[in-house]
Amino acid sequence: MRKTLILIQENQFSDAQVALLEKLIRNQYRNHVSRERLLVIWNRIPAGQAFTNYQDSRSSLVTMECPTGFPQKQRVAFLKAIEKDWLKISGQHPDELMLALVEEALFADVFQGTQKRLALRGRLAFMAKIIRTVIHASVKRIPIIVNPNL
Amino acid sequence: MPVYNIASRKPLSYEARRRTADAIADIHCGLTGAPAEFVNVIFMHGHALKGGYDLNVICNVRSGGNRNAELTETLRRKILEGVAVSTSLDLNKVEATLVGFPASWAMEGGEILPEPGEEESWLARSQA
Repeated sequence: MRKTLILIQENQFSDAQVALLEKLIRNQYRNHVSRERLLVIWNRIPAGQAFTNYQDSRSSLVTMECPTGFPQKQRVAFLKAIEKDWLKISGQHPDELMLALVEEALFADVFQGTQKRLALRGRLAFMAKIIRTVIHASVKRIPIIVNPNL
Repeated sequence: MPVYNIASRKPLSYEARRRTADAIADIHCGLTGAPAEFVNVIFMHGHALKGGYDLNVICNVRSGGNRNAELTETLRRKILEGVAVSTSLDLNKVEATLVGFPASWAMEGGEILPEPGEEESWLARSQA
């Protein structure tokens, strides 16, 4: 299973927009990268907790996993395809969107790095929150959206 | 990119977060020459951190180009010191680690990111 981490700002996108954006990511991932199952986790950052260029942020940061040695030409085509459709749905300026397609080893460093810095009880608390959120999302058939605060 | 990901044990005030984000942007741009347009700093709190730290920063930055090991270690060290000052935490209660990303793996402003040191022509193109 491959993974995607998406960071968005609180109150920026409606639930309908998030669902559309996730559908876009999944479709383009299938078309350009891999038909493997894709886990998509959204981090919705509360207001006042993200900054870009010295201001309260309006940016979205999308980090996606790919196999080792993924061709650069295909990466560029994939990122451009997402960018075009994402901006149509979100209404954002191109400067407010960062897209990255990262090989699996580095992606693992990123994905696990945020947990490795936690003490055992911190990791358990965070995993419990993720699991609750995943179960809720699975039952309601909605995107997995996490508030990263505990 | 860069994305500075900060986890703290306790919540910081908005003012402290703002000061910290500004300090990080100042340090990052001052040391690397990179533009501030895409410097992202995100905060999360309520996390019990390893080693008794009160705050941890993961610095996700472009690697390669004109960034050698000495510069990246200096960046990490200055970020650590800057964050300790802006949050009024003891230096030994703050931890900073650095993760390097190949620039060509990411896109911002509709363009694949430039190699470190090649931002001028990239900015001219992306703002044209």
